Amino acid sequence: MTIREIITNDLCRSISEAGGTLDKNAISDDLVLLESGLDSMGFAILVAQLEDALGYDPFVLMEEPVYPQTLGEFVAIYEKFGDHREG
Amino acid sequence: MKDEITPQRLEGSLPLAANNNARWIYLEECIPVRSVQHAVAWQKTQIGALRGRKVALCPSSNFNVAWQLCCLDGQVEAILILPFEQSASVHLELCQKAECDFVLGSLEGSEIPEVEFPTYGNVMCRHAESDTPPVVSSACDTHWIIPTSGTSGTPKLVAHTLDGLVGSTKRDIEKGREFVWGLLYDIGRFAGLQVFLQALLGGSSLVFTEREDPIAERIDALINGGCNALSATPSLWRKILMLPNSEKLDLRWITLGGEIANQHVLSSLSKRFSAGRITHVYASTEAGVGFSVRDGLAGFPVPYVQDGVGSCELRVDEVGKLWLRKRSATQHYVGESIDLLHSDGWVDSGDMVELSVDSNRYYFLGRENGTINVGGSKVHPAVVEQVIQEVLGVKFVAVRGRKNPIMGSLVEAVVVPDSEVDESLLRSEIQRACREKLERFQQPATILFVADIELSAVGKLQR
Repeated sequence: MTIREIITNDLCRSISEAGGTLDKNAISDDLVLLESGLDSMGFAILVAQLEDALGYDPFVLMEEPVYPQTLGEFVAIYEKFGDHREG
Repeated sequence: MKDEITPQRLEGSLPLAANNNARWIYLEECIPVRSVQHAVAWQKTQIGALRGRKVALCPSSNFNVAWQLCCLDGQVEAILILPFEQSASVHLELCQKAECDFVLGSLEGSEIPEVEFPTYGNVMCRHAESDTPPVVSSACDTHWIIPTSGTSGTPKLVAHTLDGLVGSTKRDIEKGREFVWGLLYDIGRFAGLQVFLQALLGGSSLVFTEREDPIAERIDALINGGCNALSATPSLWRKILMLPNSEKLDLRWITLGGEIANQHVLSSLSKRFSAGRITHVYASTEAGVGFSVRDGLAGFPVPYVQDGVGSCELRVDEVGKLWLRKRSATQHYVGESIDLLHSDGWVDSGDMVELSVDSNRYYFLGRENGTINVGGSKVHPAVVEQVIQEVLGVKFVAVRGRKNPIMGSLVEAVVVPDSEVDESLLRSEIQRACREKLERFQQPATILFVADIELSAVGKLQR
């Protein structure tokens, strides 16, 4: 699976675990993360789960802190550090 | 009086000089008698040089340390028991802190004079008693210096007197004869010393087991020795309950200590060992033995705080921390600039409790400094562990913090599942239970499944 696919799958699962639903059609690069049904806690959990799935946490690796607002920005951050991916 | 001492008793036993006791207590091996004679000979020839001095015991077998304690108590000014899991440099540091004059055994890199002590195999000890005085009479009130089991930094040293250590020991020798204790703790730790001294002064037998042996073998040794009284941490009890051979243990006296005894482990023990009387003890190296709870329920009754319990007074401060005060407490730190006993004799337990008005009990939440900070909200690992432990299919669980760039920390659960359970189903069940019973910030963000969880050197869960 590509990084993007893993992220969108985990995003949908996290939202459903948080008790929400995400319309598949709404998944686009412009999707605002905190309007997707995830609050900051859910977002934190998503980052932890992605670290387990991909083997790295880009927010730890990055030198300058970046706070992504949209799904597109979020995926780009993970792709930027994609060479740390394990498995 | 002296004429009544049989040569056999002189040659075959060693006294533990329990200072003001009317009855002298002896440690007597079943086999081999030869080592007893060696120890007696050792005491006769070596004790002169050590009398009134401070002596450090290098880590050795539980059985050896038991002999050393018997030989030295009442003779030397202080005994420092070095913790086996620490490095030689920490041992050296502790010896310096306690200003030890001699080392029993060998200590790497040390210039402190070393004294040899004969080493023995591992056997079962039988209690013996006599109204006759010991071979070498008691010369002083020896301090027993015990390191704390803190996981970070160099352990602190706490000096106790023997009288302080045995303050809550049962001494009904007639009743004590019915019990065979098992030693699963390290004897050099506060909890291990309690078992050793209870067996010795209570007139019971004691089966020694050693830390390097696998837990299943240690339990086998207890079964073979006829052990019917056993003390362990709740984490160790959970492991024991998971061992098939533990069903052969016929326990009548069950003690839990060192960690929070939750209802799950208390009920499991009562179900498995229906003939056993279950006690959970609140004790620590610093506070000594605080109090015991015998009603089979987790936590402790509110009247304990209002009225005190035994010789112990309890206080819960404004942030929910438990304090203890014992009459005639004399324990103190060695080589520290802070006092162990606060004003008016109170000891800070470092443990947080919560009042439940419904059950009129206080429940333990965990260590004051053991909380996970999730975005500013504090999570006590034990609270989450209790919820997960009750999910069917969970054998063992440890909850810890994991760093997170958004919340600072998140809660992570490490779970040992039952062997035939479907992990994805179990994950959903755990998540469901946590959603029902916990606040969102308390719920584990991640759940890891592992084959086993190692316990610390003192049998506690490592988070």
